[in-house]
Amino acid sequence: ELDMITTLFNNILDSCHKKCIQTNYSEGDLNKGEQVCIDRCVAKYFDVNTKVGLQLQKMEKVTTRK
Amino acid sequence: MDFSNLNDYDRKQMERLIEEKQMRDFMRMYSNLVDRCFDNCVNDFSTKTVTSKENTCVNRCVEKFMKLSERASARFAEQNAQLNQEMQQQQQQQRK
Repeated sequence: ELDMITTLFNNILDSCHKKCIQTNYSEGDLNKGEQVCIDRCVAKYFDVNTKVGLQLQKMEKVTTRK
Repeated sequence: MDFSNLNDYDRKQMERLIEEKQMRDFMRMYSNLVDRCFDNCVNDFSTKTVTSKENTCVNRCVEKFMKLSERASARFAEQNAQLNQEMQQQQQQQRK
């Protein structure tokens, strides 16, 4: 379980860095846009994580019934 | 993950495992960060030494990543707490 959580967190860091952080590194601090992006990115990623789990459960039920 | 019902030996084992895992996670994060900062910042190969521009870029890269990590970690904890709360509520409703 701990592995799952840390993997999830590392994936969040990776994805949100790609999607939110401008790579020109004009300064060391996060600007407002990046901060908002990160907040939304984490929330959405979490949401997608849950949704994928639910969908997988649903699909598993369908395939085991056949 | 509650370790209070494990005996001393088991608990020490768990703690050691967790410590090892944290070490591995840190090493992984470190090498990913080096990779990322190098990819994004170092593009001038006309010289063997790191230019001061590249140096500044790398410093900012690390700083930015650490701040990202801090912020994401706070949001992550919030989301996690919210999810746990929702799951508890669902379980309570199912019991009725």
